[in-house]
Amino acid sequence: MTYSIYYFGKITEHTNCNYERLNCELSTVKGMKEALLKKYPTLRNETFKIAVNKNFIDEEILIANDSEIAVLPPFAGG
Amino acid sequence: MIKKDKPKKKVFVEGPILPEKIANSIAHHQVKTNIGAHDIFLGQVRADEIDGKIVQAIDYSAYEDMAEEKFHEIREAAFDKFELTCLHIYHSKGIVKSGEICLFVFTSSKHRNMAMDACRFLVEEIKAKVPIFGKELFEDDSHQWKVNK
Repeated sequence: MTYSIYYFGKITEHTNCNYERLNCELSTVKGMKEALLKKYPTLRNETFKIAVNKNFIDEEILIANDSEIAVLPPFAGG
Repeated sequence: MIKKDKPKKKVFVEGPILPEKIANSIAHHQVKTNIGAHDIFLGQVRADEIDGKIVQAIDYSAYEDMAEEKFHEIREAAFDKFELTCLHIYHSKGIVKSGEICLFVFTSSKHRNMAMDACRFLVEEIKAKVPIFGKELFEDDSHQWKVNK
Protein backbone atom coordinates (compact mmCIF):
# COMPACT_ATOMS: atom_id res chain seq x y z
CA MET A 1 0.00 0.00 0.00
CA THR A 2 1.05 3.56 -0.54
CA TYR A 3 -0.35 6.31 1.62
CA SER A 4 0.09 10.08 1.33
CA ILE A 5 0.61 11.48 4.79
CA TYR A 6 0.28 15.17 5.68
CA TYR A 7 1.49 16.60 8.98
CA PHE A 8 0.24 19.81 10.55
CA GLY A 9 1.14 22.31 13.28
CA LYS A 10 3.23 21.00 16.13
CA ILE A 11 3.40 17.52 14.58
CA THR A 12 5.76 18.87 11.88
CA GLU A 13 8.30 19.69 14.59
CA HIS A 14 8.62 15.94 15.20
CA THR A 15 8.56 14.79 11.57
CA ASN A 16 10.59 17.68 10.08
CA CYS A 17 8.38 17.52 7.01
CA ASN A 18 4.76 18.27 6.23
CA TYR A 19 4.26 15.57 3.63
CA GLU A 20 5.58 12.14 2.78
CA ARG A 21 4.60 9.01 0.89
CA LEU A 22 4.64 5.90 3.03
CA ASN A 23 4.82 2.38 1.68
CA CYS A 24 3.57 -0.14 4.19
CA GLU A 25 1.21 -3.06 4.71
CA LEU A 26 -2.54 -2.53 4.56
CA SER A 27 -3.31 -0.73 7.78
CA THR A 28 -6.05 0.53 10.08
CA VAL A 29 -5.94 3.94 11.76
CA LYS A 30 -4.74 2.14 14.88
CA GLY A 31 -1.96 0.43 12.94
CA MET A 32 -1.03 3.71 11.28
CA LYS A 33 -0.71 5.36 14.70
CA GLU A 34 1.64 2.60 15.85
CA ALA A 35 3.71 2.88 12.66
CA LEU A 36 4.02 6.64 13.10
CA LEU A 37 5.05 6.32 16.74
CA LYS A 38 7.71 3.80 15.70
CA LYS A 39 9.03 6.13 13.00
CA TYR A 40 8.80 9.26 15.17
CA PRO A 41 9.12 8.13 18.83
CA THR A 42 8.84 11.69 20.21
CA LEU A 43 5.25 11.82 18.93
CA ARG A 44 4.36 9.76 22.01
CA ASN A 45 4.29 13.01 23.97
CA GLU A 46 1.79 14.63 21.63
CA THR A 47 -1.97 14.52 21.32
CA PHE A 48 -3.08 13.95 17.74
CA LYS A 49 -5.90 12.58 15.61
CA ILE A 50 -5.69 10.88 12.25
CA ALA A 51 -8.05 11.86 9.43
CA VAL A 52 -8.49 9.59 6.41
CA ASN A 53 -9.63 11.35 3.24
CA LYS A 54 -10.65 14.34 5.42
CA ASN A 55 -12.80 12.27 7.79
CA PHE A 56 -12.36 10.67 11.17
CA ILE A 57 -13.09 6.96 10.81
CA ASP A 58 -13.27 4.04 13.20
CA GLU A 59 -9.78 2.99 14.33
CA GLU A 60 -10.36 -0.61 13.19
CA ILE A 61 -11.39 0.13 9.59
CA LEU A 62 -8.80 -0.68 6.94
CA ILE A 63 -7.42 2.32 5.08
CA ALA A 64 -7.69 1.95 1.29
CA ASN A 65 -4.62 2.24 -0.94
CA ASP A 66 -3.78 5.79 -2.02
CA SER A 67 -5.75 7.34 0.84
CA GLU A 68 -4.91 10.82 2.04
CA ILE A 69 -3.93 10.64 5.68
CA ALA A 70 -3.59 13.71 7.89
CA VAL A 71 -2.00 13.79 11.32
CA LEU A 72 -3.73 16.59 13.23
CA PRO A 73 -2.72 18.15 16.55
CA PRO A 74 -5.39 19.83 18.76
CA PHE A 75 -7.41 22.50 16.97
CA ALA A 76 -6.92 26.19 17.72
CA GLY A 77 -9.35 28.03 15.45
CA GLY A 78 -11.07 31.23 16.52
CA MET B 1 -35.94 31.71 2.82
CA ILE B 2 -33.38 29.05 3.57
CA LYS B 3 -30.37 29.26 1.34
CA LYS B 4 -29.18 25.74 0.76
CA ASP B 5 -27.15 24.02 -1.90
CA LYS B 6 -25.12 27.13 -2.52
CA PRO B 7 -21.56 26.60 -3.73
CA LYS B 8 -18.94 26.34 -1.00
CA LYS B 9 -17.77 29.76 0.08
CA LYS B 10 -14.18 30.65 0.77
CA VAL B 11 -13.67 31.18 4.48
CA PHE B 12 -9.96 31.87 4.81
CA VAL B 13 -8.61 35.39 4.65
CA GLU B 14 -4.86 36.09 4.46
CA GLY B 15 -3.80 37.96 7.63
CA PRO B 16 -6.15 39.79 10.00
CA ILE B 17 -9.81 40.49 9.28
CA LEU B 18 -10.00 44.26 8.95
CA PRO B 19 -12.68 46.32 10.73
CA GLU B 20 -13.53 47.83 7.30
CA LYS B 21 -14.48 44.36 6.04
CA ILE B 22 -16.84 43.93 8.97
CA ALA B 23 -18.39 47.37 8.41
CA ASN B 24 -18.83 46.69 4.67
CA SER B 25 -20.40 43.34 5.44
CA ILE B 26 -22.99 45.03 7.66
CA ALA B 27 -23.65 47.67 4.98
CA HIS B 28 -24.26 44.98 2.33
CA HIS B 29 -27.19 43.66 4.39
CA GLN B 30 -29.16 46.91 4.36
CA VAL B 31 -30.85 45.82 1.11
CA LYS B 32 -32.12 42.65 2.79
CA THR B 33 -35.10 44.19 4.51
CA ASN B 34 -36.59 40.90 5.69
CA ILE B 35 -33.80 40.78 8.29
CA GLY B 36 -34.71 42.06 11.74
CA ALA B 37 -31.68 40.96 13.75
CA HIS B 38 -27.97 40.37 13.24
CA ASP B 39 -25.48 38.82 15.60
CA ILE B 40 -21.73 39.09 15.21
CA PHE B 41 -18.89 37.24 16.91
CA LEU B 42 -15.36 38.55 16.57
CA GLY B 43 -12.39 36.52 17.76
CA GLN B 44 -9.40 38.68 18.71
CA VAL B 45 -5.82 37.61 19.35
CA ARG B 46 -4.93 38.02 23.03
CA ALA B 47 -1.52 39.17 24.25
CA ASP B 48 -1.35 36.36 26.82
CA GLU B 49 1.59 36.21 29.17
CA ILE B 50 3.07 32.72 29.27
CA ASP B 51 6.11 32.03 31.48
CA GLY B 52 6.96 35.74 31.50
CA LYS B 53 6.75 36.12 27.73
CA ILE B 54 3.99 37.95 25.90
CA VAL B 55 2.23 36.63 22.81
CA GLN B 56 2.89 39.05 19.94
CA ALA B 57 0.91 37.29 17.23
CA ILE B 58 -0.60 33.98 16.17
CA ASP B 59 0.48 32.34 12.94
CA TYR B 60 -2.58 30.39 11.76
CA SER B 61 -2.33 27.38 9.50
CA ALA B 62 -4.94 24.81 8.52
CA TYR B 63 -5.62 21.55 6.76
CA GLU B 64 -7.43 23.76 4.29
CA ASP B 65 -9.28 21.19 2.19
CA MET B 66 -10.75 19.52 5.27
CA ALA B 67 -11.35 22.89 6.96
CA GLU B 68 -13.38 24.19 4.00
CA GLU B 69 -15.43 20.97 4.05
CA LYS B 70 -16.06 21.30 7.79
CA PHE B 71 -17.03 24.96 7.43
CA HIS B 72 -19.50 23.91 4.74
CA GLU B 73 -20.99 21.16 6.96
CA ILE B 74 -21.26 23.53 9.92
CA ARG B 75 -22.93 26.17 7.75
CA GLU B 76 -25.48 23.63 6.43
CA ALA B 77 -26.17 22.39 9.98
CA ALA B 78 -26.82 25.96 11.13
CA PHE B 79 -29.29 26.56 8.26
CA ASP B 80 -31.09 23.32 9.19
CA LYS B 81 -31.20 24.10 12.90
CA PHE B 82 -32.06 27.81 12.88
CA GLU B 83 -34.28 30.07 10.79
CA LEU B 84 -31.56 32.17 9.23
CA THR B 85 -31.70 34.61 6.37
CA CYS B 86 -27.96 34.37 5.81
CA LEU B 87 -24.69 33.69 7.55
CA HIS B 88 -21.05 34.47 6.90
CA ILE B 89 -17.85 33.03 8.33
CA TYR B 90 -14.32 34.35 7.81
CA HIS B 91 -11.18 33.02 9.49
CA SER B 92 -7.62 34.26 9.18
CA LYS B 93 -4.65 32.31 8.01
CA GLY B 94 -1.07 33.49 8.40
CA ILE B 95 0.03 36.09 10.91
CA VAL B 96 -2.48 37.96 13.06
CA LYS B 97 -1.01 40.34 15.66
CA SER B 98 -2.41 40.69 19.19
CA GLY B 99 -5.41 43.00 19.15
CA GLU B 100 -6.34 42.07 15.60
CA ILE B 101 -9.38 40.05 14.52
CA CYS B 102 -8.94 36.41 13.45
CA LEU B 103 -12.55 35.15 13.30
CA PHE B 104 -15.70 36.88 12.05
CA VAL B 105 -19.05 35.08 12.32
CA PHE B 106 -22.12 37.00 11.15
CA THR B 107 -25.68 35.63 11.40
CA SER B 108 -28.90 37.30 10.26
CA SER B 109 -32.51 36.37 10.94
CA LYS B 110 -35.97 37.85 11.28
CA HIS B 111 -35.72 37.90 15.06
CA ARG B 112 -32.93 38.07 17.62
CA ASN B 113 -33.11 34.62 19.20
CA MET B 114 -32.35 32.69 16.02
CA ALA B 115 -29.49 35.00 15.06
CA MET B 116 -27.93 34.85 18.54
CA ASP B 117 -28.36 31.09 19.05
CA ALA B 118 -26.97 30.37 15.58
CA CYS B 119 -23.96 32.61 16.14
CA ARG B 120 -23.04 30.81 19.35
CA PHE B 121 -23.60 27.40 17.73
CA LEU B 122 -21.32 28.33 14.82
CA VAL B 123 -18.49 29.60 17.02
CA GLU B 124 -18.55 26.49 19.22
CA GLU B 125 -18.65 24.17 16.20
CA ILE B 126 -15.79 26.00 14.47
CA LYS B 127 -13.59 25.79 17.55
CA ALA B 128 -14.29 22.08 18.04
CA LYS B 129 -14.41 20.71 14.51
CA VAL B 130 -12.31 22.74 12.08
CA PRO B 131 -8.65 21.69 11.68
CA ILE B 132 -6.99 25.06 12.24
CA PHE B 133 -3.70 25.38 14.12
CA GLY B 134 -2.24 28.42 15.87
CA LYS B 135 1.41 29.08 16.57
CA GLU B 136 1.70 31.71 19.31
CA LEU B 137 4.75 33.83 18.60
CA PHE B 138 6.76 35.57 21.33
CA GLU B 139 9.06 38.58 21.04
CA ASP B 140 12.23 36.49 21.40
CA ASP B 141 11.32 34.36 18.34
CA SER B 142 10.26 31.41 20.50
CA HIS B 143 6.75 29.99 20.16
CA GLN B 144 4.17 27.62 21.55
CA TRP B 145 1.15 25.94 19.96
CA LYS B 146 -2.29 27.17 20.97
CA VAL B 147 -4.92 24.62 22.04
CA ASN B 148 -8.62 25.48 22.23
CA LYS B 149 -10.22 25.02 25.63
